[in-house]
Amino acid sequence: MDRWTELNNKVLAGGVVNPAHDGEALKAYFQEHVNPNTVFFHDLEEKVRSMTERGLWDAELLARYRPEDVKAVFTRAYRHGYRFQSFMGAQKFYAEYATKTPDGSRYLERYEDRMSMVALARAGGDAELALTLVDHLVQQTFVPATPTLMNSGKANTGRLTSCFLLQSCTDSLDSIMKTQHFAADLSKNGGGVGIDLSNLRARGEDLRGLKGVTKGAAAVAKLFDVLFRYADQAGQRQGAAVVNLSVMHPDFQELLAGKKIATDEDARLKTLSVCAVIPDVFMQAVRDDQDVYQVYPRSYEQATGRVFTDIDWEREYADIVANSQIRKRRVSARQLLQEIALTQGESGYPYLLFTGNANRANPVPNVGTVKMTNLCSEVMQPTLPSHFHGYGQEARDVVGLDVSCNLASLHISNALASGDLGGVVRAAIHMLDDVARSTNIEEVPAVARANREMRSIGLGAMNLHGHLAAHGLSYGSPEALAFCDLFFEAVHFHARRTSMEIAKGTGFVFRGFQGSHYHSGEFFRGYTEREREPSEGIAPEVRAALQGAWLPTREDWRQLVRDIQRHGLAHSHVMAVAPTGSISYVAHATASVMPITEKVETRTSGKGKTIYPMPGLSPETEWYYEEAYDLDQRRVIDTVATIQRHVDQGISCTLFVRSDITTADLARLYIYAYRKGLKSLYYLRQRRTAVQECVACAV
Amino acid sequence: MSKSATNWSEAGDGFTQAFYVQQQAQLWFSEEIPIASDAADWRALSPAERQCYTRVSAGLNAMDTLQGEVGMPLLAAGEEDHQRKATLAMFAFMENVHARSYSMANKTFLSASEERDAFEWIEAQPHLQRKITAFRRLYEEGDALTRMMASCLLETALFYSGFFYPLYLAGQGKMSHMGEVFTLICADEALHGTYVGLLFQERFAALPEDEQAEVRARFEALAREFYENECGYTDEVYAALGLASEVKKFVRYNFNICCDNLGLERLFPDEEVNPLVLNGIRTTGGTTHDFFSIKGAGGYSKIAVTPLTDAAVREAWDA
Repeated sequence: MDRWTELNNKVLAGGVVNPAHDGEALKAYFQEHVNPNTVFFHDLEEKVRSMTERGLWDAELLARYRPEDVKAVFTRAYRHGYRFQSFMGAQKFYAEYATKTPDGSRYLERYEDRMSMVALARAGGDAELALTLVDHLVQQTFVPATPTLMNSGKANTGRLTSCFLLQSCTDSLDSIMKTQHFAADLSKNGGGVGIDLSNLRARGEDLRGLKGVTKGAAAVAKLFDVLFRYADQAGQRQGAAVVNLSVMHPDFQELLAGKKIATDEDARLKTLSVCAVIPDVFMQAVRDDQDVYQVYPRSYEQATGRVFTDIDWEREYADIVANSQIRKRRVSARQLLQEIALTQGESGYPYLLFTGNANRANPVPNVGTVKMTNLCSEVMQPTLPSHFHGYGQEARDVVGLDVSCNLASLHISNALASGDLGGVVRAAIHMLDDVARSTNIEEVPAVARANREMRSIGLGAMNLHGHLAAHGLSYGSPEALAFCDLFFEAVHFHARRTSMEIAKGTGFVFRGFQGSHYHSGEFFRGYTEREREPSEGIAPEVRAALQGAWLPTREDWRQLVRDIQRHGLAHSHVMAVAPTGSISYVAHATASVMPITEKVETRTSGKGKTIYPMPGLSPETEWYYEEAYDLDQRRVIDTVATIQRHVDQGISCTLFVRSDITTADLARLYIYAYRKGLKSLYYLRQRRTAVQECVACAV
Repeated sequence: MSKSATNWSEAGDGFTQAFYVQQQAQLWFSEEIPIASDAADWRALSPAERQCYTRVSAGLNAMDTLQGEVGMPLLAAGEEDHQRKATLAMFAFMENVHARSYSMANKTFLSASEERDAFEWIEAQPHLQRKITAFRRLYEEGDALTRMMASCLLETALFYSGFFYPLYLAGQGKMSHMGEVFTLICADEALHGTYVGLLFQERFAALPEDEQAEVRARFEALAREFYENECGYTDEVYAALGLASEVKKFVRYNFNICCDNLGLERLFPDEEVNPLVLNGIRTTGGTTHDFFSIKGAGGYSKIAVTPLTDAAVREAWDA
């Protein structure tokens, strides 16, 4: 057993938590593992030559710079004297991100080398931008998503993007199988895939004139469940996917049953995630304790010539209910919501997507409606169904619009500490823009089309709880909400302005800008029409937490809208708040905008058990590091609702509950989240009541 | 024979219901965990490592079978109270789920002949056979107090020589899905040991002092005898991997936990136990897991269904 693993495990193994052991583990890890196992190069020239000759670094990329520019970037990277602050962070980086010899035994890159290569790759030959980027990357003011961090600058580069949504699993065997093929292709390269199944005809509908023979959406879900365990990333990590299905689809209950503990092997969805797509009419029926009518997609299509995801529930639902030609299934809305809660309790799934909220805030309704979401439930963009045909008949294919989304996250504390939040956001947006321009996934045509036409990106944030704790603010308190409101508005402003500047500078405007709510200015009305500035009269502790960051005023927004109307925007979307797993460990940040789960985490993954004390955990901050399971979850929802006002896409919002929660408690949280305007709820996490606790309260 | 029904509305002894509910919340089946995903790890283990893994699992299978078939059912039979009977019967059910999960692992990782060898090894392994024979006799011939003592000793102490290796590997990221199975089993065993320990303490407290002294002495003799037996077993199973002394520390640690459960004095001095393995049996809290590659033993449970009332809906809607 490795000494650093043992030292790290000692943090928790004693009677009292002792984070000092983590420092010892970190030291041992470098001295006994990283340093002796790092290939030595005399100088940068030798390193570059060796790495390009080995076929690891992209020689073509490096040739776009003068050698002295390359050198300047590496020098800048090393000058920061970066040190990892936790064993977890160092181990994550060296195990997962650093380039190694083919047998995996020796490291060829140190942290600074990787950051230099990311900067050079993403600056696309612009030496000045490369220097700016490397400063940000090494100081971790923002961190790109894992595939960008891992694959940038490499010769046989894997993909830079890992988030995809497919609206191609439409109602024919050809489209279903084609989607399997796309999904496998995306998965083998590390993509997490969201797939919408709502357009599939339900179990027991007609097929080629035969009555009641179809197997329905849950059966297709099972195919994907098996597929993603097979098409993994060369055995390094399991494939991962979510299937979306409307609660108004008759197969919804059957799909849900696939996530329950005791279910038939043929129906069980072992590793596939599930998302419940919930329109307003359903939530209204919950409120009024009414039944809803689930609609059979095939029969709807036969009666109207339109597909299931075309349904405008607000306008059409009454007609559908009245139309006797459309087959329907009647079910109590509250009972179905209870069923969702029960399944979440047992499995953590499904996610919930509130399409009413998502579409009311959709800036590009002219492109389409939001119908589905991704594996982390923060990507919210319009999709259009595709239709595929068999071999040799590709000419008949209809390529719709899928989603490919490029993500990065600000490190809130580091970004503010830099003293130039605007500069940080600008650099991050430029980097993401480059990722979008460098990506072209031809194998999946509707994904390639989306990236080409929409060029969507998503900047999020991490270390919210860490930042609040460091400034003596309680998560979810009025002061913390005020901080979130002001911080994310500023981020939004800078991000949007940068997108406008890119459009202005390059002439590229995303398709669908004309006719969008950006173009009309409607999307920004909350800023441009407001009567008073939110920064007026804010509490001193909130101001302190903002560290002097510049805040946009109504006039600034009005000017920006005028600029946008004149020059357009380069990206259909610029923000999305991802859950940030691995990268927040590397950057020593609390995950995303969620509360911490434990003051000292025990993290289990395919690579073993690692103990991770929260960033800056001390007797002073401990008080403010309330654990998520001890919080009223409405404080989490309030936090997300506040941030959501400034985010054009969505936010991964996990609920944290104890195992003694009931279905009614959960349902109330769903309703609360819906009413607060949340677009989605990510999975449910549960802390089991421990044996000691149950004895303590019982004996 | 019982002529009445179980009334769960009554508080009963004040703690049994909590254990029943807890076991229900912890309910799991091996099918929930994709253990086949450990296949590559399994092949990467050395023959000695595979043999150790197979043997500790086989030994545990035998112990869980004994608990499920004899131990728990007899404990249930010895209780008068319906709630207690139901709780112990559910424990028995879970013991059989455990035994089946070892068998499922065999089916996944072993060839038919390797599987047969493992079962034959159980029947020939002297320490294991001694343990099974002795505990079966304690269950069948002992009084209620003896049965409780035996059950607690088995579940809180004598299982842990076997648990060591899977937890040790999982702590290093090897066989991590099976590691989850073991963590789930450990959580169940912790519950069983605590509960049966409480039943023991109740009866023990009612004894006159001289009888208490006799029981205490009997427990210590039994524990010492089977600690020695466990050391012999550990030597045989772990010798090739050079882990025997680490395992024995862990076994002593768990003997002490057993004493705590029974409310008796600890038998061994405190010592430092392998932190990986210790963190593997921590059942408090749960762990933060990579949600997309591991199911997560920290995880999910049956939750109570309560109807959504108009008042509750209105409150959340208008909040």
